[in-house]
Amino acid sequence: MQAKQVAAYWDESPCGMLVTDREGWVLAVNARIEDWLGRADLAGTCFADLLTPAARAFYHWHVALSVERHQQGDEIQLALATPDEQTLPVLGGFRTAEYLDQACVHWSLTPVPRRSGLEGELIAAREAAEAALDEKQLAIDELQRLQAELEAHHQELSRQNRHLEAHAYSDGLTRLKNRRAFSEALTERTRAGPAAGPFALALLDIDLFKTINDSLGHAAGDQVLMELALLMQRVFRDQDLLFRIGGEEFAIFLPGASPEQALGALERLRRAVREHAWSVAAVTVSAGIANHQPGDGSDSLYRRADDALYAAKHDGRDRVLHAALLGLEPAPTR
Amino acid sequence: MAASILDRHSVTITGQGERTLLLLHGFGCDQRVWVPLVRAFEPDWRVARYDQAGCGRALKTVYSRHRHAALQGYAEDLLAVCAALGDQAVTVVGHSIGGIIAMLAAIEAPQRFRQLVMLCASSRYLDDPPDYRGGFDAAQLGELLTMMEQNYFAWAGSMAANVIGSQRKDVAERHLRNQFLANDARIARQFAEVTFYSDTRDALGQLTIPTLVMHTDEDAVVPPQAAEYLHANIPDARLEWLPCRGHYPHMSDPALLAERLRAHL
Repeated sequence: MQAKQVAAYWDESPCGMLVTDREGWVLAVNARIEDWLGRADLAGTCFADLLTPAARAFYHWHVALSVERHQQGDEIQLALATPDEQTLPVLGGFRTAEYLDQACVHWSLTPVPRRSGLEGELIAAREAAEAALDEKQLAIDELQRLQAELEAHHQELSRQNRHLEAHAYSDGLTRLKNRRAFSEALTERTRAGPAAGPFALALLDIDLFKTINDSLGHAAGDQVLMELALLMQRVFRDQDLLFRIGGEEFAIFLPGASPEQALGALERLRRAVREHAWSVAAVTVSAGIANHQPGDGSDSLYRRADDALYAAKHDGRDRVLHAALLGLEPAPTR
Repeated sequence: MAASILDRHSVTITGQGERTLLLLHGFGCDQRVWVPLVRAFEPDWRVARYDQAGCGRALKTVYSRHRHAALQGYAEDLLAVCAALGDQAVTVVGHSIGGIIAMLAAIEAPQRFRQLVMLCASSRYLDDPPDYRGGFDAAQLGELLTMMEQNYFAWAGSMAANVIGSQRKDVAERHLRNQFLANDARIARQFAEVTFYSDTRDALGQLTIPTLVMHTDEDAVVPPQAAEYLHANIPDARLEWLPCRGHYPHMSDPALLAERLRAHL
């Protein structure tokens, strides 16, 4: 057979030589392949059937397609099934040629057991490295997720803290600051001394508030308190601090205010209270003012304002008095 | 700007006809495997084919390591392509794992499909003794994946040649080949693992559309038992044996396949 003669030239080659038709049927092999496979009856078998199951699948999956499409192929790694279920990894290449009107596929196969083993190890090592990398990335992702969670918790906690703080320092009914806030602010402000600039403290009281509570009930009293708080917020400046320090007692810090300015502000409130269309009962207010003096502690400042308030009440209510007018502190210089 | 779904999967539409025939390639190749077959259908069918994620000329951005870690991701792509092709239900021919992907899509959205052809497909490649024969044991499958990896250089080369579409050995091909080597080794490996370790046997019973299982007399990749298993477990299935060999009858015997397909479509 012609093809057999062609193959015979190659019997001494260190490579396995193989000629198939385009469909993979073996036309001829050299002696090298017969030695490897331990059989001589290879003509007429299918090339793929000489391979290990995995290599056979790969051949049908990929190599056959490649033979079908291309005139040549290089560096194709396959494995021959040798006797006793042994495996011989080979590196092969093919060229397609017309020979006596028949399309032949010429294969040469080089045994590469050591190279193949090494490659297998390299691939395994690379997979291990990739898996480790993936794992590391997962760990990083998890850490970032936890960090974001922690940050969210922290923000929620801060929000709740701010809420609690606001709650602890505010009066639930009027939304003004409460007595506790007043005490702390007064201590802080008087401790800062004159260096922090002038300021006035006003104490304010609703006249005859007890009669409203007694005759119209506590709900009516609460209504009056809320309306007064709104009036105060409307009359005073943004930088003035408004406190409800007792049942019907209020305090106002007026930073930067001279005695005249403080008097003017409290007078405006007193008139606004008189003119307001009260929803449950008309009320009036009395107020006493003191301006911070050098050497003042929180007690002394508070006492002068309280004395002024007492005097305003005693004087007939619905009025505003300044401690300076009572001679309790130096009269303001003009 | 995001490319349209047709661009992203490099969808090719040829032929003219009322009905649409959608061809879905399998693992390790691209839409070009259908070239020998399409001519037979172009006179009276609208024939569409595309490159699955990570294959052929599909845009790199289509592939998502996360989404395509399961066949479901490929099925989603198929449904997106179907939607882009129009409202009319299509007849889909899926080769190998492409047939399984088409089956998953047809379970998800049966209204999109008129008929399904599963060509040389298998719902599981791994043997599951004693009752199921998939063709490979675990060691052989491991060996196959390693062999694919070892052959990646040659493999990438042939893919690049396909993409270029000629024998040109120019700068463009070298460039493309390098790109394949750099980027696609992991994608190909992942697609190989998703394919060969897939087990969709439980899904077969949920397939409602008429299905044609086609298999060659001698397929070294998928044993005849796997085709019989599909036939036995898909509710509305017929089984057709093709009198030819190999895993790629659309490449090796396109005329025979076209004739048998026409008899059933």
